[in-house]
This record gives sequence, structure tokens and C-alpha cells, in this order.
Amino acid sequence: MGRGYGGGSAVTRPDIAVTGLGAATPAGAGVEETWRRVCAAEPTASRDSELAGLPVDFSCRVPEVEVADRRRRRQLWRQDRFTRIALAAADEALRDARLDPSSWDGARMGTAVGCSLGGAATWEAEFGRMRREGPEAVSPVVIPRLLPNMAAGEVALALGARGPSMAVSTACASGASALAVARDWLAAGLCDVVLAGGTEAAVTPLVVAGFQRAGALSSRTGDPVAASRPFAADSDGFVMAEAAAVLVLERLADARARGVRPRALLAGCGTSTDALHPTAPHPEGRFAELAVTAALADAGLEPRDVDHVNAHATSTPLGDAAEASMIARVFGHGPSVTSAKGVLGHSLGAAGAVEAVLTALSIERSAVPPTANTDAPAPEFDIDLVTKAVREQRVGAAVSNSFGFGGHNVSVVLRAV
Amino acid sequence: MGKAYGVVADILVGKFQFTEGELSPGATLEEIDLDSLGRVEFALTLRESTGVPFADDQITLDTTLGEIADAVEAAWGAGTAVAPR
Repeated sequence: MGRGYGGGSAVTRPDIAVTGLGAATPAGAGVEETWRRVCAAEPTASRDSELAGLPVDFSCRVPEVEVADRRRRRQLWRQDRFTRIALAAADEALRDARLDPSSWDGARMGTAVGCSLGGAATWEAEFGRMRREGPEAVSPVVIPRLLPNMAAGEVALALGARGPSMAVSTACASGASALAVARDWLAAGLCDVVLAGGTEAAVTPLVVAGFQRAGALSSRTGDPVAASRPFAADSDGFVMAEAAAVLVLERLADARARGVRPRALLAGCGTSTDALHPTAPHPEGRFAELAVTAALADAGLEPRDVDHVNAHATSTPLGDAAEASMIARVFGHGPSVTSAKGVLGHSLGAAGAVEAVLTALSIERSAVPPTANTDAPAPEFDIDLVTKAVREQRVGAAVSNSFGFGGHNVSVVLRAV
Repeated sequence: MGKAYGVVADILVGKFQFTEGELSPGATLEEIDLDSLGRVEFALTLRESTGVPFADDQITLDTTLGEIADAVEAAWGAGTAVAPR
């Protein structure tokens, strides 16, 4: 039983099981292909023709997702890409959890899907058409395509999930925030199963130009594969990525009652806010630390109980330094640290969910993937960064961090069953 | 059916993911299962593909695919729109 946020309250929460994992990432459709590629430390970044002519012209794209179901294919025209890849991830997660939408009580099924920017590609395309051809040329589905909540809405619609549903938006912490929201729904008894995760497909000229102008992106245009370098001394910014990931969450007792072995436990969630600056983190991660300690207290764990940290580490010098400082301070015993963003880039609102999936796999498989492109952390970062090759180690408990513009900090604690 | 019907079918197959077998000249948009938003999107795409400026109420859910093709052929024939090459 978790002890509730902050550890100071008497709230007891049921253990939450992770019974299904699904992902659509730049590594390919599916959790296994994503895990394989991250473990192999093979970056997915490449030149992006849609960004041609921009100062940053590379990204990590999700390969086109095949939709086998004919009825589903007939709905693709009304869906932005961030919704399509969320549906693919949700389908895989449901299969993994051995849940069948045709036989469930939809009223007890929830959907929480984090997203930062929504249908950015739809915005840009339709705005351009309106400017060129007038308002009559605007698609009647421009609004349902671009609303950030439509991934949650379309997943619920496709699966008949009629319990609570919402999009959670905390910028690059959205995917992790969705897990925290889902956990609370389950603890409060609002529903029995939640499809929780994040999705993002906002690699568009305007969004890329915006991040580039803010100084957040790597400008290694001559060498995209080497551009995302979490915790490296010579990192110069993140690489834009698309991705979606969905986890099936249910109360452990319910999972056991239907004979399903959980892949991991969602043991605790902690959230905090920097309340300091719109985009820059506290240089030492002082307020991100509040999220980590709250998550640990929620899980009933001490820092020394944590074997592994899946870092947010986007490859921005400021963000990586703040997180490294915080990890070194909180976890004096030196748990292993990794970042998947060297391979997958930074998928903004999806990243927290993608990394929760990878963290669950590290627990299940006793393996921590290396941080691609980084041979050793910058000398001033006092962390045990896994580099070059997979490290085989028992992971009984792990923390996954996510931080977003707006000062949003979210940490989740996952544990072995 | 003529060239215009081919354009109508291409849109329904390419954009809306129908199969050829689900389409026939006598079927209305409602019968092939387009909803009201789909109707507007279809009319918009048809205008882009044929050059025929349909009014919003000219293509309804009760209009058949054959009637739509005939209207396109008529507009092309009257020279009010140019057929795609």
C-alpha cells in the first residue's frame, strides 16, 4: 500500500498494477522493437524533408502505422497523427493486458492520455489553406483533429471506454501526469481499468522553429544521429520526436482476480511545480526534487531503495545539469541512470509514458539500456550513467522523471511485483 | 460510368478508405456511411479534385454517387470547371 502524497497524510492507496504496455515510437510500432533499439543504442534521428530549409532539419519520426481494421481505417481522415499513434499504442497495451473491449463493462474503463501540443500539423496545414484559399477551404474536421483531448476521446470511442477520460497537459511531463491522474482514479474507485499514457506528433515547421528560436534544439545538422546526447559534456539541445505509449493500469487485486500477472507495479507518483520561470528549471533541480521525494513517500520507499533512475535528460545543457545535480543529491548511493532520448529523441508529451514503459521493462528484465551517444557523463555530473552497453542488474524499484515547460515536475515510482 | 465517377470513387477510396466494392452509382452518401462532417469533407475534396465549386447544400447525404458524378460532368461540359488531366 502506498502512503499518499508527501507521506504526511494517512491516506492509504491500493497497489496499482501495470498489466499492459503499448508503444509506437521512432524505433517502430511496438514495445519490443522500441526496447530492442534502445538497448542497441541505435539513434533514430534522421533528416526530415518536411523541415527542409529550417535551421534544424532533422527529427525522430514514428514510421507509418498500419491499421488492419477496416472500420478503423475509415476514420483515419478525421484524425491527426497524434491520435492515430495513440490508438496503435492503446491497441497493443490492451492485447498485452488480455483485455477484450467487446466483453468489458465500458462504464468502468477510463482513458487518460497526455499531450502537449495536440494537432499541430493540422493547425499549420489548415491555417495555410485558409490564408491561401479562404475560409471555405477549411476542413470541417479541423477542430476535432487538433484538439489535444482527441487522442483520449478517440481511444475511448474506439474501445467503448465510457468511464472517466481526459487529456492531461503539462508540456513534456504530460505522459507522466496522465499516469498520476489514472492512479488517482483507480485509488478513488472511479473506474477499474485505465488506459493511461501520452502521445505527441508535433514535428512541424512552426513548432521546430519555435523550439529552435528558444535555444532548446540541437543544431548538429551535419550529424543528426549524434545530436541527442543526454548528460554529455558537449550536448547542445534536444531532438524533436514523435511517439505514443499507453499503459494499462488496474488495481492489483483486480488484476490478480482475473488471473493476469502484472508486469510491474505503479508504486507511487509525485508532482511539484518550480514556480520560478516559464521554461528554465531551477539550476540544481531543487523543486524537481520535491516531486521525487513525494513519489518515494507515496510508494513508501526511501531513496536508498531505488536501484535505477530513468532520467528525463533531454540533452539540453541546462536541463541535464539540473537533473544530474538533483539525482546526485537525492540518491547518494548512486543508482544506475539512463536516458532513452539518445535513441528516441524527445517526444514531449509522450516521453513520460514511453519512459515508464521502458522502466517497467528494466524491472521485468533486470536490464538497464545504455544512453546512446554519450560515452561518459560530463565530469561535473556525479551520476552512475549507463553507457555503451546494456547493464544487467536487478531493478526492484525505479524512478522515472519528467519535467515540462511551465515548471511541471512529475516522478513516478515503479516496482517489481 | 465516366471520368467524373472515377474521380468520386478515387476520393472515397483514397481519402475515406472505402473499397471499390462498397461503392455504386446508386448508393447515397448516407448509405455508404458518411456522416455530416464526412459529407462536407468529401465535397471540399471533390471541389479541389474537379474544380467544380459545389455549394454546401448541393451535395447532401441523400445524393447518390451517380448524381454527383453527373453534376461534375455537366459542369465540365458547360465549361464552368476544368476537368483534371
